[in-house]
Amino acid sequence: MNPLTRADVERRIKSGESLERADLRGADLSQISLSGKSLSRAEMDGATLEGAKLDGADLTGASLREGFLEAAQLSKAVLAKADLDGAVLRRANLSFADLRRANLEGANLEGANLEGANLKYAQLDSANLAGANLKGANFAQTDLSEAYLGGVRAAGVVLARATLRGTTLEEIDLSDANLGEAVLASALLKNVVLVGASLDEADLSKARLVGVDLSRADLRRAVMTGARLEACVLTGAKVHRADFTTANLVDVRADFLDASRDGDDTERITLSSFLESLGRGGEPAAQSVRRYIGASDVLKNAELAFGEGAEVQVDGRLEGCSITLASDASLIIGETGVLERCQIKGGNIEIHGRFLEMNRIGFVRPGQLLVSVRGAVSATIEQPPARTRFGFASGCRLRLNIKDPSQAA
Amino acid sequence: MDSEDELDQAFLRVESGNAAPSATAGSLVVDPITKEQNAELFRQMAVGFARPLRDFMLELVLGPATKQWIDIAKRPVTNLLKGAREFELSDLVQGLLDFEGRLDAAQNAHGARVSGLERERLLSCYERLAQALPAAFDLKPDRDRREPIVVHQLLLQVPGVHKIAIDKLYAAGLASLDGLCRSSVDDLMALARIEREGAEAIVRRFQAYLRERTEQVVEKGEVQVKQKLRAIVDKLGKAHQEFQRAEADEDRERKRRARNERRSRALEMNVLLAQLGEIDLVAELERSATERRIERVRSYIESSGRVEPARQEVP
Repeated sequence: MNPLTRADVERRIKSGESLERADLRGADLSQISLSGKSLSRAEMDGATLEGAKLDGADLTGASLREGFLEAAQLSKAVLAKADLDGAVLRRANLSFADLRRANLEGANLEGANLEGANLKYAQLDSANLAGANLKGANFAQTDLSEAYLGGVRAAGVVLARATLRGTTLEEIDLSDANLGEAVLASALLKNVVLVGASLDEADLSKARLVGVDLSRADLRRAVMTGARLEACVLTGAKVHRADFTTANLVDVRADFLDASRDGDDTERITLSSFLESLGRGGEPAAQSVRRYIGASDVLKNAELAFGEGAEVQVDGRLEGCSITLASDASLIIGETGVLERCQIKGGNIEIHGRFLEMNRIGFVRPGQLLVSVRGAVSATIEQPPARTRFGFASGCRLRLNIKDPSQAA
Repeated sequence: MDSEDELDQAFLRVESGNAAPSATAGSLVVDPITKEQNAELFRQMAVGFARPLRDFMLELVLGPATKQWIDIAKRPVTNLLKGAREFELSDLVQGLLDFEGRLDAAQNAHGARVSGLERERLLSCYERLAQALPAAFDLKPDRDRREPIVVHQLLLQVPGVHKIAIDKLYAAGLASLDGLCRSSVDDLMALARIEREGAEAIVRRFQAYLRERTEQVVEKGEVQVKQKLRAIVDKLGKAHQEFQRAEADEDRERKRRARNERRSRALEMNVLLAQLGEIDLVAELERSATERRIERVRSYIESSGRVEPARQEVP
């Protein structure tokens, strides 16, 4: 059956016939008015919809590959799971559109209005977003690899857990933006303002940052290995456990850094002392091993061993696990971390979450045990001969059986 | 016979020197009013006939051009000269005679290219032609149509150069081929505040383009254009097939490479078509999906054998 023509479409609209699953491949539908209509699952590859009025239209699952939608009006349109691979959407109005899981790979969105649009899980690999309006748009967990984001307006944009591998970002104000856990590996950031932005646990390995303002940015646990920072500002950046080993810093200015664990500015350090603490300037820091068990991770009945200098953070759940730590290795149980029926041997332990083990010895000869105000511990501790250093914040919940070294088996 | 055919025939009669002295059917009449009307027709038709000459001058404005252009430019000059004499357009006659002389001098000068003093003299001489008959010789309308597209498509071909850099260049007044071909890396850095890496890439691309244009063989131009376009379309077709295969294989890296290749070929094609003055076709292609684009350019190549006489010599 031949694809429908513009006349067929107009006839169908008049007679109230459905356009769902309609074959509109290659049709010229420029300036057509289809606002509020349902075109779900329509086949519209290569169609011309220049200036078409599609506000509030339902295009769920529609195929618009290489469609020409320049200046199309798609405000509040539903384009969830639509295939817009290679489509031209220059100056299109997609404000508050639903683009969840849409495929926009290689799409041209230059000057498009995406204000308030929801693009969660969308594919935007190699897309061109130059000069687009992204205010308040949700790009959480989208794939923006190799995309271009130059001169975009991005106040309040959410890029948490987005993949921006090899992406170019230039002349953008991303102040206070959420880029938590985003992957920016090998990305190029030129003249980007990231003041107060959240980049915690973001991966910026091998990224190149030129003229980037990271003042007060949250870089806690961010990975900056192999990154190059030129003429950047880091004043007040939160750097607790940020990995700057092998990062190349050129003309970087930082009046001070916030090294506090909670990023509350309670522990200020200088840039040079921060870099020294990473073992830079002579001491190789690469020997330290870092392991992170994320909030959604669950490990059961595992046997884990960590060597000298290892740093382990658990924000997930461990059940029935046996963890062996070298004497100077450290283990942090984050606020969301829960260890049940686990045993930790050796090391230095910091607990902000929960550790529950009532049937056997929970801590075997730890060098140090710190429990923060939010921490809860119910366990037996066997101390080493040199005795364990304890630190309990007032308000923490404890049910501890502390065995004297002489009682140890 | 339609009016255009009539006009063509009349023009060819002027060219051949066989204009009838009396007002017989289809011949040129001698009464002053009709003669002035015919002269006006000649001026209008000169626009189309002077096209190869304008193409040559557009090349020469950019820089030294191959001498093969001289033969292409000479024919319209000779023809237009006959018409100008017939209609006693003395300024134009003088301008064309001077220009013809300059063409001969350039032909006899050393080297394979029109360059240096010969180039400057030709440009200056052409100025007088443009004053005598702006509609036929003014380069601005052609430049205004073709050049922005050529410049933009060339800039889009430069790796690492995106909208921000392009906007900076335009804002600094660097939007012409002439300007960009003559700019140094330092110029671009100082005027447009572009970083060295990008400036170097832009200079490289425009210098290469200038070389391509000044070195291209213009003899049998139509054949060459067809061959070049066909080669690009074939590569575009292959890139598209590879794109589809990579997509079917769910190989993202290959797909990305094929997409970039497809884009590069499309830009290359646009430059060539814009250079030919096919601006509307470029706009049409921009709105088309890849398969349709390939089909359309192939049909353009096939049909371009029937182009108007003046176009046949355009490289």
